[in-house]
Amino acid sequence: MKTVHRIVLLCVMYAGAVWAQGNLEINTPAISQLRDAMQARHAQLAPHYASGALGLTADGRIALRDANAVPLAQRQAVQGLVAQENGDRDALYREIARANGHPEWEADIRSTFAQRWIGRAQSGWYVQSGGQWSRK
Amino acid sequence: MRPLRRCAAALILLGAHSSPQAAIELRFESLSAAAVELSDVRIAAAGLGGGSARITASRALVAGRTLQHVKLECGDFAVLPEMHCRGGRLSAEGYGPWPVEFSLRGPQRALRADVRLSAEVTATVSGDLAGSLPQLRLVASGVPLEFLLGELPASKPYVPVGKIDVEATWVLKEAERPPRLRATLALRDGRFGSADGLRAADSLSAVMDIDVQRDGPDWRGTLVTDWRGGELLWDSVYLTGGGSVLSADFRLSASALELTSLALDLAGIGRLTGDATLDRASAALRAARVQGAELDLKLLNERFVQPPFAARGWPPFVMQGYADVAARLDPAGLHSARLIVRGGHVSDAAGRYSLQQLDADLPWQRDGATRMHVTAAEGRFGRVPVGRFALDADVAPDHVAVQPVRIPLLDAGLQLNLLRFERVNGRWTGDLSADLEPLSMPELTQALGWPRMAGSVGASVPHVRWRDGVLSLDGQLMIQVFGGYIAVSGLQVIEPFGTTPRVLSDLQMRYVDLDALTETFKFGRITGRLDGDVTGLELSRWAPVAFDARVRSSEGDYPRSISQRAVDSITALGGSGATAAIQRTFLGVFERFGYRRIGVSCRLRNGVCEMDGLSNRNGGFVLIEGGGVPALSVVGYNRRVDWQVLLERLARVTETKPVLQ
Repeated sequence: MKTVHRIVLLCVMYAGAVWAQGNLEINTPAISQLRDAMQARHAQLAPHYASGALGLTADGRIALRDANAVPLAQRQAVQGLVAQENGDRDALYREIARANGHPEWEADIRSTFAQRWIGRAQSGWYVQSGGQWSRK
Repeated sequence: MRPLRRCAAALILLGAHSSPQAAIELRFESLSAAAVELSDVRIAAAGLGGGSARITASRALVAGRTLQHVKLECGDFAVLPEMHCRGGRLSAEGYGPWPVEFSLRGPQRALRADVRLSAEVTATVSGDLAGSLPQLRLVASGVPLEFLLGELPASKPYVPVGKIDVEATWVLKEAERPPRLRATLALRDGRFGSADGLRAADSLSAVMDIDVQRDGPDWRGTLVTDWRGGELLWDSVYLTGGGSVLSADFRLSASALELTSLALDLAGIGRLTGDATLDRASAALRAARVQGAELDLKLLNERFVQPPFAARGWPPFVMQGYADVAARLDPAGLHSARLIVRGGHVSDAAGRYSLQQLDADLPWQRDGATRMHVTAAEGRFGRVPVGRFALDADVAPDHVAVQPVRIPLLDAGLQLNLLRFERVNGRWTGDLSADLEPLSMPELTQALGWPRMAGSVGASVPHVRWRDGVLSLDGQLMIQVFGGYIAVSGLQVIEPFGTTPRVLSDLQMRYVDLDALTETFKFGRITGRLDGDVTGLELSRWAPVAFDARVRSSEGDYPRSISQRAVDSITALGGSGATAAIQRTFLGVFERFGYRRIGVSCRLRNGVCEMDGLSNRNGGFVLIEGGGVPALSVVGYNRRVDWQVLLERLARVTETKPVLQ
């Protein structure tokens, strides 16, 4: 398992370092498509992270933790965005595991990504730990 | 005290000893008038003509609602010559205290009472308690909604807030009829919200007209609620703007609220009618029947059907036409339903499929089997047009079986032999078997917008299974095309409807007529037959990410020739490393060349195609081995080719030539 962790960590460090530059190099067509879709969606999600409506979960997904922070007319659309984002995140973990030839690593990749997303969350965003939400 | 119709016998004039300030003390076991019942009533007053007084009731039942420990204290209370209370305070457990004043005058017993519910809200009750038409009128403006809803358990989690303007007339006696209350409740600035914010409303305005009469121990009447404006979110369904009206006859008993002649006019969609019974204490549904005819499917879909799918990230779809619906509900939820669609139209918003002139009869039962029937006059899957078909399906809680059906596709048809879904241990599984009748390639390629190809294509799918998100093929999928066939085996489609569909398969291609294939493209013409084997094919999002492919000229005796243009195309595919091993002078002289064998392989990994040919020659690999006169060989030297680059080159050399009609 040590090898798994090392490789996953390398992937994630690399992904994390270049993600912000829009130049992720875990380069399979599927991962590129997922990355593009997630980056395009991020602009719509970001204000809702900032408002506290959305939070980053401990399992590498996002959750609508307080819909009250979203104007009523937008809550329906935000639910759809969350479902799409989680679909892409689940697929991303699966694809990275597959791309590395180890589908069984998916859970490790997910948990490492989860820590990484939470670690990189902006100040003021909500993150989940041990089932509890806290504000960074 | 004349309006008090029933007064328990235990009227006791007590001595002053029980309350030192009170000269008079009265005690009633119970008092009732119209919609008010009081229990254990005690009146303690300084005197009949003035002075302070205190009236208490341990319990009051007002219009079906129970109040505990009701207390009225008057600074100045008189019974004679006229009853009045000034400087009073009214309270009950959980309510008040509210400043109150009232007076009761003259032979008509004219009542005027003002209760200040808050600094802004005063409720005024006026009218005659006696005379030919005894009635009371209540006017209150801006009464808090939460006050009216009181302890209603169903409303508690939603923290309703709003202002209600009340105008009510209470006819106490009307030609032998029991007391009757008519009221108009106008809600403004209404809002509520569940803790998670997924059930909420804002700026609600609505008007409820209610006409209610006592009927033995029950109340019965009619109500009309007109939603006039505001926003409403219920899980994923979001409605705005109002325009919907609910009307019903009702009977409120000690245990239940029965609604009959229920009519719900949904703005722009149509009218639902029915009846319902709700548990009074919990507001839970006991039973309901709903039906509606000629409902507008477009708006019904946009407002109620599509949103739950969109909230789960499903792609949007569009519906048009009209529908009749009927449903029965019980405490466990939907018991049975029937949807009839006439002249419907369903399509994916992205244009991937559509069905037009759709007629459907879709009965459903929670605990039983039904048969559903659908006909569509025409449709489209991708760009391929579909002709009229009729579909019957047997539907039960744990299985759905579509009867064998032929769906016309272009000049042929798709014969669906088996399409069945079953729920096993809580998970749905599916099975499919189908045959595609030979379909004209010119028609198919035209419909798909592809370069025109000759011949026909047919296919046989013996058995496809759907288990745990994976479609897998048992046996071989045979596709007859270009005079030969392609056999697909070991096919698996993983999460075909997910965000990253993945395909695993092996392909075997035999005796494909290259003439038919290459005449279509600008590629150049090759006469001959081709075999191919692709193992370990893996597609992600429908694009290849890995395979081992090898194509070669078929064994056997058949004419073999290749045009100069095709030679150029093949060398262009190989990039600068490929050369035609023939003197340029000859290339210029001849239009067509003979060949003995063609062979090329590509092993795709990580976006790179590792190429090989028939044999090695001078550090390169032979793609075409010459034969006959004039003979020509093509040798490749670049063994590692970027897959994307190869696709781009292929796209360049296969650009469609103009199709001559």
